[in-house]
Amino acid sequence: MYPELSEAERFPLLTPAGRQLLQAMRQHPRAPLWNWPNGEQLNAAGLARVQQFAQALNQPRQQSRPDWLDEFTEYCCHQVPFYRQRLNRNSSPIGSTAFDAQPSCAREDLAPHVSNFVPDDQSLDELIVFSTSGTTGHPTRMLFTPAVAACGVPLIEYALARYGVALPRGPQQVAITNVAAYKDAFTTAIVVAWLGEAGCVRVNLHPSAWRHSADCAAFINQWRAPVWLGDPVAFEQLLQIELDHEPQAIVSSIMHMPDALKAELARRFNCPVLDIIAMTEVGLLALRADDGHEVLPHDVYVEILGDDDRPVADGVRGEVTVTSRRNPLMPLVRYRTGDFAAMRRDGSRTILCDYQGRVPVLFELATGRTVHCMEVTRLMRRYPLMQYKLHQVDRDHFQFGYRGHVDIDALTLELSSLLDAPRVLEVEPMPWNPTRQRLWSTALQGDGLSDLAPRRSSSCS
Amino acid sequence: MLGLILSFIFCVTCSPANVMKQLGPPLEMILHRLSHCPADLFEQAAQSSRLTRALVCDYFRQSQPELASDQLDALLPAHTGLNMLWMPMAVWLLSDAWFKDRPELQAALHELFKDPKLSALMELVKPDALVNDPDRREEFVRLLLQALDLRPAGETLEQALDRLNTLDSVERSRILRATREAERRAREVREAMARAKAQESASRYGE
Repeated sequence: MYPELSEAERFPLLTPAGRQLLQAMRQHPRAPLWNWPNGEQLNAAGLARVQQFAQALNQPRQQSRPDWLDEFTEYCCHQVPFYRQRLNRNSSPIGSTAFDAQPSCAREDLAPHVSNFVPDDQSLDELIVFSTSGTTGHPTRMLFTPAVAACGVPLIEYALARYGVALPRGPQQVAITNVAAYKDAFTTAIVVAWLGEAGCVRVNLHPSAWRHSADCAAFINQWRAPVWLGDPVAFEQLLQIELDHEPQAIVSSIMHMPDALKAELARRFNCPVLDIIAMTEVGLLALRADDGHEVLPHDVYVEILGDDDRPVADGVRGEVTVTSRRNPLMPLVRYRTGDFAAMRRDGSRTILCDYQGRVPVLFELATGRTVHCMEVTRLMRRYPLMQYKLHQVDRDHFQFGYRGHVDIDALTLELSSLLDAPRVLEVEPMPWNPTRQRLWSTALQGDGLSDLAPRRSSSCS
Repeated sequence: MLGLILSFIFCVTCSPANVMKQLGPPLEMILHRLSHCPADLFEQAAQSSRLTRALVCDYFRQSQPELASDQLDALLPAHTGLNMLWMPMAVWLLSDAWFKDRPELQAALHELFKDPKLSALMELVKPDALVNDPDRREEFVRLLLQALDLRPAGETLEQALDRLNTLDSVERSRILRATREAERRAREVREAMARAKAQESASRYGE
């Protein structure tokens, strides 16, 4: 599917022991069909940056508003075309590089002109491109450095530490099993430099990802990773698999974790279930606690903005907006995430209350098959759409709206094939809609997870 | 992109440096005078910056004979060369009775020949264009009036600014350079993204 990176490119710091684990994972007789030849691409300088990040992450926080905001904003206003142009634009004079004077921006600003968010003074030598669909139906690509991508592990470890769980180090074991459950999901096995080359496997529970149906359980059982990472749909699938061990923790992200499923997972696997908010733009953002979702990273400043671009009072719902300096290739100043919550500050803690996360949707088809919303997302990544929306009217009737210049005949053909050729597939261009709306929706009863229990968002106590 | 350029022009040239508070001479009158500037005046001046200095000093000596040599030197920029080529035409214009009859302009005139915008104009425009090209003639006259805190008689401040913005060669050149640089960088980023050997080539954790 992708041009193969060489081993030296994927793992610049690979040791003989790391290579041995890598080969053991990849060449295991019951391994899944690997389809994602990736790697951290992390060199010594990159690893040093991850170490600095982890050190800063673990420092005690003194205040909820960081002191780097104004300096960072001034840098962006000088070096990043998007902020610079906005500063000078007469139609909305900002007139100041101070953080508080900046208007917000959103995926709609980023998606059409990604290059406008790349600072002029940044080298483009180390570049990783991620695709993202977001919640607002504006697919885009984002630029990262290997070090920024690798910061995801210390962030997860920081969240796990709240439950007394630490990721293991060294090339003797697999630290993380990442699970997905939809057709054509990426599968890979890597070693993680930050963890001293402990392994991380990503497996797909969908039957099409395995040579034999029994291999899935056998492979997961083989590595006995102490931490499982995935989305609620995948974890619900995992409940159906005969596993002979319990992890130390389950980390659920990408979509909202229903309370009932969380409780079922905790009971079945006898471990804490962490419900995190993570997004491509800033990585892991918050961890669900009893009193809401606590913001974790030290280098992301979170605000709740109203429609007028002003921060709302604590306790009032608005749009979760982030300012992040972690990614040198895409610094974000007041970036609206498309998710909504209220906020409460408790000393140095920032709590998101009543957070409305992404709800996973499973489309139940007339053929009896179920299509995961991520399969739709994967398909849409191949077409340069500005915006799209898929709504299921009934099992045999779908409505697809799109904005962008694409080969719509080819897209329709592929979408129809993905949905098992429904009786009606309405495909219509959609007008520009700056308001945020769900990418996927279904008029059918529930969404595939609802049989477990009605879901409830966290709320401020 | 054009909208962006225009917004840049509007924003930058609307800076409050010279607000053109006073009414100056009618534009037609001063344009007409400039169009009759003797060619040998700027052609000879182009050959010698000393001649230009002499022209400017003579102009001030006529109106203020008490000025000493060192005071006259202070009225001119330290650096000479291309950026002085507009001065003979300015002297020609300022020799008109409209200016000579207004001693209240003396303070502004003392600063005029050090005006950076008029000097910067000469990096983009040939001296004869200030006389022979109608747009550059008008731009030069308007810049000169602006440097004296004047606007053409009969024009509002908005009209004067709008017309000056339309003609502003220096700002237009700066913006075009900046735009070219921005386009080069955007192309560089797009090419780097296309070159990225494998998309999604690192793991994401929970995103």
